[in-house]
Amino acid sequence: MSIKSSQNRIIGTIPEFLYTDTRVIFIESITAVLVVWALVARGLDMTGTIASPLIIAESTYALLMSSDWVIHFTATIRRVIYGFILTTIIGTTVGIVMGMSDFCEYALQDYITIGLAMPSLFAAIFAAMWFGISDITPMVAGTVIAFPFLAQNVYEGVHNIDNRLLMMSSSFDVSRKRVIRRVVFQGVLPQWFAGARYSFAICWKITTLAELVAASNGIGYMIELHLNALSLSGVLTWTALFTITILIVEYGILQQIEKRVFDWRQESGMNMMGAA
Amino acid sequence: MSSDMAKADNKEAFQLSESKPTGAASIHIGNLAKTFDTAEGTEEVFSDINIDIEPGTFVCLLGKSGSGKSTMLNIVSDVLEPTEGRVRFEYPSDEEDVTLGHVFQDPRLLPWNTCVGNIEYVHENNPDYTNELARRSLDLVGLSDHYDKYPTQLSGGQRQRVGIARALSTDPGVLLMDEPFSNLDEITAENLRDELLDIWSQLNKTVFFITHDMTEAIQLCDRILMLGQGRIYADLENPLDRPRRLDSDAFLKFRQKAVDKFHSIEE
Repeated sequence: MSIKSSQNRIIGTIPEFLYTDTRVIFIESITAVLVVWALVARGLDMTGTIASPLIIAESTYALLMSSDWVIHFTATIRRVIYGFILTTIIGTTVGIVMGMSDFCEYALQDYITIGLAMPSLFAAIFAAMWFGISDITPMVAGTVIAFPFLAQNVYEGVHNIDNRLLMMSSSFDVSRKRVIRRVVFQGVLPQWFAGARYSFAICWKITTLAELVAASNGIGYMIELHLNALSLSGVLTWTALFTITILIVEYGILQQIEKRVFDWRQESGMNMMGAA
Repeated sequence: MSSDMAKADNKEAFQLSESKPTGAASIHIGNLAKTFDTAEGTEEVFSDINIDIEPGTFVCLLGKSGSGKSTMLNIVSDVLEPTEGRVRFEYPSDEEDVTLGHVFQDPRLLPWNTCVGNIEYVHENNPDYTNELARRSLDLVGLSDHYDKYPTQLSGGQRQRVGIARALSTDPGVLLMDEPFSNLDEITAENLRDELLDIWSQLNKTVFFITHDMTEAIQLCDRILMLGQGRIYADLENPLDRPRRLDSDAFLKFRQKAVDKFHSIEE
């Protein structure tokens, strides 16, 4: 009997929703990590070095019940949003001009390549040296690292617009304004969204990193504070808050927007990842 | 004839727009020439092309790959400028501008719009447009159950029908078709040819149809123009009555005559 047929027989005994429903798979994945974490922490007596899910859950709950987290959380959110807005403006503009002008493509492509390869720590350190301890440091660091990803995606989106659709529009005397709105913008949107989503995640990471280097509040600052105090549970508690926020933004906001904007892809069984 | 084709007992049922249908226009191509500048110099695609097409006629332009068929269609549809000559469209009775309906080899539908949305897209300058017009156009090509479907949810043949519905929805005086069935399997193409003839017989539009398929040309057209070596070297009236049976003696005999004529340019 082949390995594949054995696998099929085993899978055949498991209820289908356990390995097909994405929400169930998500819960299974989280649960598996928590169980392994708890087993390793307890079984190997490593609660001092990796804490345990229960300890972190308790301290996260305690943190959320106090009002301490609000000021740091809102400071980080504010910087991420500012950074993301700046990233969107610069990334979209650069991507479009690169896609529409050969001169701009040749002039900017190398900078985008350098930007894509630049280590995040460099941006955080340089921004800290230039702007010191302020809101601008995490915002600029996030933007410098994130915008090349968005620009590259938008540039490819503009390049991939189906020229036949533009010719069809011309044949039916469709105005330039309508073509830009209904063909160009819609054509670039999947790549723009994929790039914006990735850039948003990068802004989160770099903002937290920059807060570690140069901030007097924020999630990154609090992680650094607990790190200096060698409080592992403190570091993990703030990391848990960071992780929970990312998951809420991903599933509660970004995926909902994606479903609405790309309903034509959902209807036809295509998915967003194909556009990235 | 395909069973899902919308039927109509009279011409009124096929009237798409609430306003008066514009009918069919004539096409006048005079002294048309086209050259392209290449690295090797100037390359002539065709020259001194003169064609007059009566309103309501179904005309095929037949030629081999590279003969300049699509170039000519692009000039006729005003996408390309001719080097010399001009193309004129006229309605028999009035001075109104003639609307052209385009059906392409690939349907060129916006994938993010539904069938109705794709038709709506080309009606920017039509103040009378309503989605009812789009739905009626889709009914005409047998897509009554697909108004809100996206192109990716349709088969190749259905997508091409949306392309035909989009062109017809503009109530064109002339329908320009660039090898519209060449990307489809033969059974689907055969069904669509029947449906196109059915629609044409009801709407009586002038059709300028590009093809490289002799059987398709004879099955569809009243008149066959053969393009080769930069000129129209044959202009054949199709003597066959409609409907045309592909296996009838008359069809096969005329086909042989047309094929001989088609290859005469090589001799």
